[in-house]
Amino acid sequence: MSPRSHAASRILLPALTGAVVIALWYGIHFYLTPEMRFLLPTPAAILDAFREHRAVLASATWNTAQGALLGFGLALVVSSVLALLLSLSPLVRTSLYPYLMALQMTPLPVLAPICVIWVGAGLNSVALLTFVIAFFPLVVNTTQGLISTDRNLVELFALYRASRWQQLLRLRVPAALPYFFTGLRIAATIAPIGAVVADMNAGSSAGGGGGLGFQAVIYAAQAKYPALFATALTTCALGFVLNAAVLTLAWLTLRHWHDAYERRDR
Amino acid sequence: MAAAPLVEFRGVTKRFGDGPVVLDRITFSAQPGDFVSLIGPSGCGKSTALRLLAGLSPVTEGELTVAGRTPDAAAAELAYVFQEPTLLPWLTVAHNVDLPQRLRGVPAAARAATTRRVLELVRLGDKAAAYPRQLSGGQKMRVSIARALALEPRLLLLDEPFGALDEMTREHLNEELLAIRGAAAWTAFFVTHSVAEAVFLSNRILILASQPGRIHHEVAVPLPYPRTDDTRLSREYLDLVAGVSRLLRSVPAVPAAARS
Amino acid sequence: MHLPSLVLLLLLTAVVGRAAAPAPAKLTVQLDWVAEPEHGGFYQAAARGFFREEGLDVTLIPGGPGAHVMPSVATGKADIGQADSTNTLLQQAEGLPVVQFAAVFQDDPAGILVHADSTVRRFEDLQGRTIIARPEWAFLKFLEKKYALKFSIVPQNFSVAAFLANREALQQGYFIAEPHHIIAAGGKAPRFLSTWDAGFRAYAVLVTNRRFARERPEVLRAFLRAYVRGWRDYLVGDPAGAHALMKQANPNNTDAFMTYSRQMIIDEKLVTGRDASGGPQQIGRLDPARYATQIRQMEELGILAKGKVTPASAITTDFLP
Repeated sequence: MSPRSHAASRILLPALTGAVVIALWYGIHFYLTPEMRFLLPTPAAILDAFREHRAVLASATWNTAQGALLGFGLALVVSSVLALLLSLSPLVRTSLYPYLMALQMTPLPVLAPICVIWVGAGLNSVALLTFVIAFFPLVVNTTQGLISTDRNLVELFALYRASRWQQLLRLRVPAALPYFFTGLRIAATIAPIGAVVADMNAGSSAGGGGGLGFQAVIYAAQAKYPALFATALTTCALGFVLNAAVLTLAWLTLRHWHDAYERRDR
Repeated sequence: MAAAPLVEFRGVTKRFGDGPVVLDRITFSAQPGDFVSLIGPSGCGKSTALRLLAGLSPVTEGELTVAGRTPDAAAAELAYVFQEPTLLPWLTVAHNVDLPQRLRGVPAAARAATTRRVLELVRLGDKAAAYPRQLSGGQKMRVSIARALALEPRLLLLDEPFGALDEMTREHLNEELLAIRGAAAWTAFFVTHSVAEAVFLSNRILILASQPGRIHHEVAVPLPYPRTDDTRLSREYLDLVAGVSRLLRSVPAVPAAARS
Repeated sequence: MHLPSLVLLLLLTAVVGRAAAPAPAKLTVQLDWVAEPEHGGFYQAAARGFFREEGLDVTLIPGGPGAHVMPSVATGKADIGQADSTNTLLQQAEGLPVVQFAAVFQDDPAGILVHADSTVRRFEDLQGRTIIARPEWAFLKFLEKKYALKFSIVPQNFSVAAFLANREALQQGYFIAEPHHIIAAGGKAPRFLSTWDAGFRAYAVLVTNRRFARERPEVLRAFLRAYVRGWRDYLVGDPAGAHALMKQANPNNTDAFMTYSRQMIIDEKLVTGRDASGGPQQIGRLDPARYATQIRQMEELGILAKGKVTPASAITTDFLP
């Protein structure tokens, strides 16, 4: 395929898929009896809902984005430090992993009330809960990366009598980057989801109406389904943006040397 | 025996933990400027001998000295070329070459000049800014050699560096290695599976037997340096290759200890 | 009655019932919450066989925080659901094909729980406070407007832990349930700001699918006869049968809790009505005039588009006995 037709198909194919999906969507909508059409609002109705609720959705998105980013950032910092600690020895890992897993296994709605009592509802809780679910994939992947360094390279460093610190900084950390970015991408995907669920359970209307989770609860309870779909799409968009940011960062960091970024046409 | 030996094995025995003896009472010394090839069947301990020299692993019994000191104390005198290029994929060619110098605390200005010089030496001056994945297998190996040479070692340890390359590239790199050496005349310990390579490069060949690893034969290679492509066509070279091959075949295939 | 004769009677009714009546009409009811005395009418009718006598085979599906009663009823997964009238009006305005057809409680027992020694005494004292509540609760918007208040809402998780942890906490709650849990957890009996004192008269209601209402009016009438009878019997008679079933459906129910909750329902005339018109004859009744007020209030709050629902479109009293 020539580069130009390749580029064209990269736009054309998703557009075509989108058109088919929208056609199907309308098809299903009008197949339903008029009484049941509330089950699947039309894309047009959802667009209207975006327009109608744009002020509320914008402020809710901002609130949720703050919680997601704070939690994500906290997860990034804490998991990096923790991964360094865990990479020190299998003994440390064996002692700490069960507790880290326990934290990950506890569902957010269960943690939420505890979190509210500890740090108060609203941004604090949302960020903390987002941190709790985002940090596990990060810490596991980064630790794995730190302990999976190529043995030959470790030997090379030993041969040249590198200090522990040099070995960590110049070898283990860069070698762990691809793993770290894998974890970061998972975290970027679940952080907005976590923030929305946290917001449903531990958000606050203080400072303007709560976040997307808060709004989702209200829209669902009031059967404002087009607005609920709009809220869902907004959450998606938030996840996409965060994902794109991580992918860009990974690309900038790894493009020169990691196989995943090798150009096929070379 | 004019100069003091650079490397001296005196009854060196190596075993890992309670495992079998890997090297059994090796006694051998190399003079400055020697190019020693180690050849022998798998498990004869050639790579282990190199690791002992590099101080990566301690001697179990006997005494091993490099420039009159323990290998660990003499670490600054030597460089090592691994079987694999063992380059850091996230560093450019120049930074890879730079790395061991940096680990040894060489000042930046000196490092830059050395890196440029050794990359020119292996004819990769134009690839300084490239990343390893952009290089061919042979080019990567040359970077690995340049990285070792950048330390200006008195002793260079090479563990089957060309084993993974095709015959053409290997022969070419053999010649290049000797050409580079012409200037610096470092002492080399070179592990290989190829008799032709061993004969072409060395002035001394150690044929090892396995389980336990021990010296089966030592062969002197009196071919004059510099050696070129023409050397490979000479009568003496071909006779030596045949002779070493015969000796290698005389190494007992099944170790004496395992026969009972 | 002696046990043997009871068994005989049961057998007899079973045999006669099978021979005489056609197959009972199946009916599912989606409750808004786990089985508790707020569902006393249902469980008493089930325990005493009132549904069976009407030729109904009723299945009660307990709810909870994620019951989503309205979608279940709107899509026909459940035939009848329990909900509150304000949210139902909002949902009807969005086109959900449901209709409100009977009252459970004449006034919504949801209100604001206040610590016994809190400085909050009146609605005006809520200025600047934080209230743990369902974000969608229309009553809060009503309060903000009526008393010109500003306060924050924190999602309620149906636990009293957050309330107990903070001496100044304010929380949405059913005053027929939460106070008991608070006392049981070692707290002091809380005070309660009620919706009706603020002039916000919402019902707890039963809703059904419009199609079901159209196609099965006889079933709904039979159901309401048994249901109203169930409440009457639960309130004045022996609640043991209903309580046994509730315990079965929700093992968290203790006798003390059920006794407390039932007593609160009786004392506050929730089922029979607080107004002058109140009394046993009021059980299940819906008043279109009160709906007109509710609709007007929500339209004024801007949460309900004007003219989207009217009492006539939202409720029907056709099926009440």
